[in-house]
Amino acid sequence: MSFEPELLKHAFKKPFTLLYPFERRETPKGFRGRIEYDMTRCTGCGLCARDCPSGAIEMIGRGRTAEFKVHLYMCTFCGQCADSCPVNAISLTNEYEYASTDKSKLIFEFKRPVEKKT
Amino acid sequence: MDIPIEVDLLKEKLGDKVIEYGSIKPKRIYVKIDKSIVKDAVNMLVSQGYTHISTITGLDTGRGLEVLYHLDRMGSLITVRVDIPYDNPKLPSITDIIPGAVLYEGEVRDLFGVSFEGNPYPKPIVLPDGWPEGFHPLRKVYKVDDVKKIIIEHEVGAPQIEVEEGRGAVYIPIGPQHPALKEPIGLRFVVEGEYIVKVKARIGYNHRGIEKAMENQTYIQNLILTERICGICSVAHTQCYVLAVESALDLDIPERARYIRVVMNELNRIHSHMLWMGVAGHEVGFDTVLMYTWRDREYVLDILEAISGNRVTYSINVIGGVRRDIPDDLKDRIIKTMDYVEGRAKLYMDLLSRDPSFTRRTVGVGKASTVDALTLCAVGPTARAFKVRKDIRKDDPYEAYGEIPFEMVVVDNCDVAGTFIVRAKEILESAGIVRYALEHMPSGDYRVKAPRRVPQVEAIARIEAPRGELVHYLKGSGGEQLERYKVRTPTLANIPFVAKMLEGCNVADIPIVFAAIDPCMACEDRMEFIDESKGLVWTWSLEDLRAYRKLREKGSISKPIEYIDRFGGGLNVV
Repeated sequence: MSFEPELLKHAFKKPFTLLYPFERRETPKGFRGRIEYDMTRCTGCGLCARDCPSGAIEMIGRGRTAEFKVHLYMCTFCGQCADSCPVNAISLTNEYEYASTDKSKLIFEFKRPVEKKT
Repeated sequence: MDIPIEVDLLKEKLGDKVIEYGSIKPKRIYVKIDKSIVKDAVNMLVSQGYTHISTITGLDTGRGLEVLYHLDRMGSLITVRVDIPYDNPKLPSITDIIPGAVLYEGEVRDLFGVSFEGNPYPKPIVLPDGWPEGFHPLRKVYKVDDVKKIIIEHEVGAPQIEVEEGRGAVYIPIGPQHPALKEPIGLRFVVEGEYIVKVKARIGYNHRGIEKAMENQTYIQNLILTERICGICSVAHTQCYVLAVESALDLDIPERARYIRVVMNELNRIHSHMLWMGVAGHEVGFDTVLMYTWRDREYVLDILEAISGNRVTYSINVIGGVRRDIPDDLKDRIIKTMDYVEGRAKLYMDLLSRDPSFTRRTVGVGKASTVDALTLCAVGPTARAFKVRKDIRKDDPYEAYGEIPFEMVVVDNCDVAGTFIVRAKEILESAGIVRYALEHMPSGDYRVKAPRRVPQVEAIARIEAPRGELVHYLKGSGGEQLERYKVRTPTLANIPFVAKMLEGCNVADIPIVFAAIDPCMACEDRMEFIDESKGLVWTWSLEDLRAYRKLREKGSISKPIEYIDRFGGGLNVV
């Protein structure tokens, strides 16, 4: 009996859920999505690869010439790499739609920018 | 450090057998005793009021095994340490003194090979059936690869539920699998007619070996891993982990971080209790409640997402503070949400305590006494619904809980309805705590730098997770990896008690009584019935059980076999 006013109220409201994929939710500021490297800042210390709990970050080479491969299918989106980075070279984007049947599409490579000769 | 008088008494009475004792931290006392006097010592401590056993930890020290009994009295924890050799790992069971220790002993027996003589559970509890004799995965001689090899070589399958001999009784094993908790549960029911006579728990269906995995990772990686022990109380697990690590490091964190952690913990509790309310509504067949509470829960998850960047895994606690600050512009939004949540919680409490479709399924269902809750060491809202005054936030305050005024919600309903009232009132208390913490939040830093190495010390952290007392035990190795980590989740502590609650209940009440401890439900998706008098075995899904209950309420059928005759539900072996 007691639920009737509650039920009536909702009979005239639109559904609470979003009609994904037609309606998309706005991600809040500071959302932890895919990571992005700023390779101009990276010093190649390797802390990100070392602290990654799931081993999703592969470091190729060492030091200033190091490049990175992020295996996003292993990523847990914890943001530890961005936290560990001493030079703030890693940022978290607000992209979150990565469902894929092809693993190779979920590998992101970050290479050193080609230095311009002056 | 002050040593309580009980320990001096212990030394006086038992003499040389008490090898050493002391205290490392306030409220943390240890007593090292000879293995011949385990029962005497535990008996004495229980008579002094240390009636609650938090957990039993096994250790492999390299020289032998060590068993740690963590006994609690009003927040102070005595750790009784016993050394045992590798070649004769035997100890007397303490289950006749503290019945609640039954699963903890079983866990240590499975993982370390310590046999507890007199433990009523002779079968494996955590390990799967078919596991080779003498292979105890947490002993240091076995590496992770050895465990993986065993699983492949021996075709270790899911635990089997054995059937006992009996006449005419029906056995109902409830087969479990749930991703949200470390301990999914199998319960075997002995039923006479419609009434449950006896319940036995069988856990370990989804034992993920996290404790072993943690020994091979760094402290930072472990922080992320502990968060994934449970998706619903993910703040609780990292909170307990950072408490343990910070206590081992003797690290003081900034005041502001302590308040932010309290806010996160309480928001976590609110959404967990709301989730439970929905599940409880669903289990009594009242799905409207599920829809409403889960919708309201989204508002809480939204602010958690706004603070931390994710809905479920927040990654907010780090060793040395919190990762993100709560900005001032979010405070208004959080307080507004708290007002909304309070209003809704009051509404549900009001509506559901009057609604006959809810009260008839909960009031007087799952009855047990306060004494049972105490002796079986129930924790959290489950215990508080049975008039047990136990809340780690009050008894053993951590973070800023000692400075924040709030009430411990205790009711004396002693049934499933009581667990609902406790949780609804706790939502109100939690909303109050969040508001107070936000208003009184000190300014300043929210994080300090923590070393990556933890010295060779031990630490026990306890917090009040949404489901009850959560215990983490840490032993550092001096390096970047830890020596031993132990997690005891609240659901494990509540299993012996829910078994007691279920005794005398109706078969149809199993879902709601079991849900009353908030065990991260879905464990009950499959049930197997055995009717020995007819030699039948059949499996019912939860849908079958619900349909059966409805038909039985209408009076059109009275026995499970009639349901099968009419609908053929799940009859698979004859």
